[in-house]
Amino acid sequence: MARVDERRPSKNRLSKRRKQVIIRDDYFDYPTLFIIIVIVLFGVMMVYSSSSYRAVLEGESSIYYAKKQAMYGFLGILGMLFISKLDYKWLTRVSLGFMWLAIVLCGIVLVIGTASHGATRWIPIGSLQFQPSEIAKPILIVYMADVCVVQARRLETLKGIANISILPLLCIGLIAKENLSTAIVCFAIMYVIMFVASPNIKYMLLLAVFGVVSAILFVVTVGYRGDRFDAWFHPETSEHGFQTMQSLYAIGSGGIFGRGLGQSIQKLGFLPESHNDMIFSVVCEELGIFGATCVIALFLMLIMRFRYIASNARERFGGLLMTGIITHLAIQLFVNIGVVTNTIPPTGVTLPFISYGGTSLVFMLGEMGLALSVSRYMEPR
Amino acid sequence: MANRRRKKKQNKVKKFSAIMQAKMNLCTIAFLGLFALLVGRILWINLKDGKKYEQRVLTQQSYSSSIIPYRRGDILDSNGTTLATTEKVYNMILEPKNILEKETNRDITVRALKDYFAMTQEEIDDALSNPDSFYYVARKKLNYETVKKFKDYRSTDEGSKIRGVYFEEEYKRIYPNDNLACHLLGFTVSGNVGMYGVEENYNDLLNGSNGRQYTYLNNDYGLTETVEPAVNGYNLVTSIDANVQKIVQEKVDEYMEKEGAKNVSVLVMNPKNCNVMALYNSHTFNPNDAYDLDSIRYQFSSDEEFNKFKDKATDEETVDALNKVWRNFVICDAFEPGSTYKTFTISGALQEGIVTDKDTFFCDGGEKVDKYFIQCHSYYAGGHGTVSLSGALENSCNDALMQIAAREGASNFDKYQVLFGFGQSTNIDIPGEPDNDSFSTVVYHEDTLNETELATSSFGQGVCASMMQIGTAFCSVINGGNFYEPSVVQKVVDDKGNVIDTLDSVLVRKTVSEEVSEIMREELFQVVEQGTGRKAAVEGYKIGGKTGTAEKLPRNNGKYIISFIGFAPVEEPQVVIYVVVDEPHTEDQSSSAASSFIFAEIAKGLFPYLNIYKSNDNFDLDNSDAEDEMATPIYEGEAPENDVAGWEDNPYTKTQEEGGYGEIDEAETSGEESSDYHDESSDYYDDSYDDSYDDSYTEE
Repeated sequence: MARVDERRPSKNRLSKRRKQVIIRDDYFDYPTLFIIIVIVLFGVMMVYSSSSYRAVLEGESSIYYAKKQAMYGFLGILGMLFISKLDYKWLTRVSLGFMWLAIVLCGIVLVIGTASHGATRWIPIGSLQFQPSEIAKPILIVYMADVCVVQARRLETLKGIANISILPLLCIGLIAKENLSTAIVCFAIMYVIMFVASPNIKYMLLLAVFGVVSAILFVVTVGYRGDRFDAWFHPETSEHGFQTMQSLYAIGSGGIFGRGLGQSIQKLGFLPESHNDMIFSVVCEELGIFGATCVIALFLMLIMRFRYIASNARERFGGLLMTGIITHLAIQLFVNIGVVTNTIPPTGVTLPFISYGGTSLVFMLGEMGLALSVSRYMEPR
Repeated sequence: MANRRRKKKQNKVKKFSAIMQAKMNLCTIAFLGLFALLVGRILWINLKDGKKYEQRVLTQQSYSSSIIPYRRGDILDSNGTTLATTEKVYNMILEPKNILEKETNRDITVRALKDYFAMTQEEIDDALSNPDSFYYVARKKLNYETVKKFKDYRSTDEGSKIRGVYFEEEYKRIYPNDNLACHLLGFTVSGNVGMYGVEENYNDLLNGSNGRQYTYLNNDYGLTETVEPAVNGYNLVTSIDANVQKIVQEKVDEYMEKEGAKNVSVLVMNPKNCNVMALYNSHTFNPNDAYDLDSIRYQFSSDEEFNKFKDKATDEETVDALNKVWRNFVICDAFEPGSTYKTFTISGALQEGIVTDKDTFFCDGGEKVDKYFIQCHSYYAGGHGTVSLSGALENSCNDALMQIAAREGASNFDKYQVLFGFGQSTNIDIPGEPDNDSFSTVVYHEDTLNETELATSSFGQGVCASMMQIGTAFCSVINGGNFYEPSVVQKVVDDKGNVIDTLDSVLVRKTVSEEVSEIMREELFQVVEQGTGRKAAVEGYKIGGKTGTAEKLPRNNGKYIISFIGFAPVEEPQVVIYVVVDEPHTEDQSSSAASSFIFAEIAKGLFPYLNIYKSNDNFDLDNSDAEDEMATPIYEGEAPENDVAGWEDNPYTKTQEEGGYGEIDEAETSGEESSDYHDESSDYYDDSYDDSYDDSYTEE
């Protein structure tokens, strides 16, 4: 507490004293915690609704998937609370090491994948499996935030930007090999953090324009004939459009308030991955436009909360960390719902907190722990 | 102070500056815009296609129904032996997506597939190459035992980890006796479509209707399953006797091996009701694999030619060649029957009272008819001299027959020709028989029966008939004059054994009286006892019969079609056996010995099996001096043009001949006459025997 006093510039004693009370170590951002717990519980509920049919088909009890999801959710929340108790400053000491760890893990998964014939995104540890690409996302946030603080001057030149980007791009490249959509999310995180941190905005805009143009060129020339784009533009006729069409049927048949919780028809074997990447279409079918909007609104509230925490972060590192977390949440949400609604070409990323998946949930909650940790050291201006 | 301040600043952590915050807020606003876009998109989907998609969701539900295949009925012989049956087989379906989902499950599944279904690693890699797929047919037509072993393993602890493997049921047609009675049975293609024989004619009765298994949502949105069971096809009980058929096949095959002929066909009927007991053409196919080209090997003179054909032949040529094997000579082809026909001329004359069994005739070796001199085969021996009616048949005397026919006149002759069913379809219940119009052209009718035609028709030359026609007419002569429609299928039974329909023999008309029938039986007995049919005799049995030889067209080429039709016992006929040998591989084809020999061989095996009693006490074992009926050219000098009825008009008479159908097809009338038949039966009945068929033997 004394440390905080010492550092904080202040104009008058009175305000200093008043704020001192707020910026205590035991400040905890309960609104954020509340929103997160609501979303996680909602996720468990939706996983139960969308997976029970499948679980029974596979000879398991109907709550098989929901139970696992709840267990991971509980573990994740414990982990989140633990992380939130730490001062996030420790991350600056290990960020480079973490970056290398992520690169190695993403490399290992490629090797394993090749050895076992056929794509895999998993690394087995005993009876558990986990997805390195899910770990890579928070690590990338931490590393970028750290680098952009420590090597801030480098952001002023193109060469410096390139230097900073080398390691993250290596990691993203490895991820892209197996999981293009996660790589895109990672890239967005990297770009937005640099954009926010960069003192020279014109380089970043230049890069953005360059990226957008090349993406459009790619779509128009090479990709246009590809399966994905065919499924995107003509889902009704494309042979790869089945999942997209089933998802649209689910969304379209939901109406304003939906069929009611647990009443989805599409989940009964028609909608592939109904408890996973496609869970949002079940939300739309069962809870309608209203429910879907509520879910998006929950995420929006969380992001607005994070924006507040970022604005009041103790230092630049915390701010950039929050920027990364916001970007991660927002982009992953957008990509997932965009795919479900056929707004963007079909790829596979999970809906944060809600889609079934242990690794995704636990690491997402870990990331939330960081956000809560940042909030504990807020210095409101 | 300033110094201290700077130092402080250096140590101080960098702030998240206002401009950075502004940029971050900008990004957040951009994300906000993206979210708004998504909400808008959801709204738009609901507004634009909501109704349509809602219906789509509901209609999709009814798609979750699966077909339960019906079982095609069996074909049984008269003793209940299975001739054709249907077995359940299993197609193994893999779901790569489910198999690949968990590594442990995948490994166990892959190992099981290797162990139980002998799948190689390559096959498995291939099957799992599309990891998103839910349907890959890995194995077809597995039998129950294989699947059972796998299912047993699956019920173990380890086996229960198998994922993404299931079986679809299907039925497969099986003919347990391979080529036995193949021409009667026919075969099936694409599962349940009968081709030829009983399979084709009774296709609708044999087939049932598929059942269905529906899964739908009940009011509580739970899944309910209803099953509409399949209706299995009916079983058919035929008059075929597998044992009789087996004996016939053995004996004919023996002959084909020893002597050989272009074709030997045998028809065994029950004279009491004209049911077909056995039918055999010496070139057979295996209905289990009707498209196996080994069955057409006989059409080639050497293996090289055969292999060349296999490599080069177009699909059409292959089917043409196979059609020759599939074709049922007994009902499809008409030929000049020769002397067997005399039976009918004499029966008719007796019935009409034009001759009596006391009459005698004088044979001087031939008769001058119109402007031709028509010979008896005894011409070079100076004629048969005075012969009784019975002697005319015994010696197969053409001269006497011509005299009888002349007495009878064209009108009466034609009347009995029609009564005996010549020039008409027999309406047997297997497909492929030419229709009435086609058959009508191969005999002379009242208006075309001039002196010459009448004379030659009387002894079976110049008219054509199929084996089935002769067999049916012959049955009526010996059974007291009852002319039945020949048939194969007797009873229709459902899969639980209930009789659905009994197909009784249809009595079409009376041909001759019981008295005439009795006289004919005795006379035909005398033919075998002391006439031209002696080589057909079997010790102890009273057998009646008649030989027949006819020179094939074109005349004077040394090619003959010889036959013997016989029955036993004479008192109360129980079986009629008709043997036709086309171009026997003997030095002198004109001798009727081959057919009589085959008849006797079959009879020796058949009569004990059929419990035919022995009633012939004074059997003369020594028949080595027996005189065979010999065919000689019937015209002295040039034969009249067009001496066989309908020769240029009808394709069915020529199919066995060189050039055959194709060449004469151009004739104006032929196209008309046969068009019906050809239209319905498409190319499967394409009956043009091409040159290769004939060449294979004429060269030897």
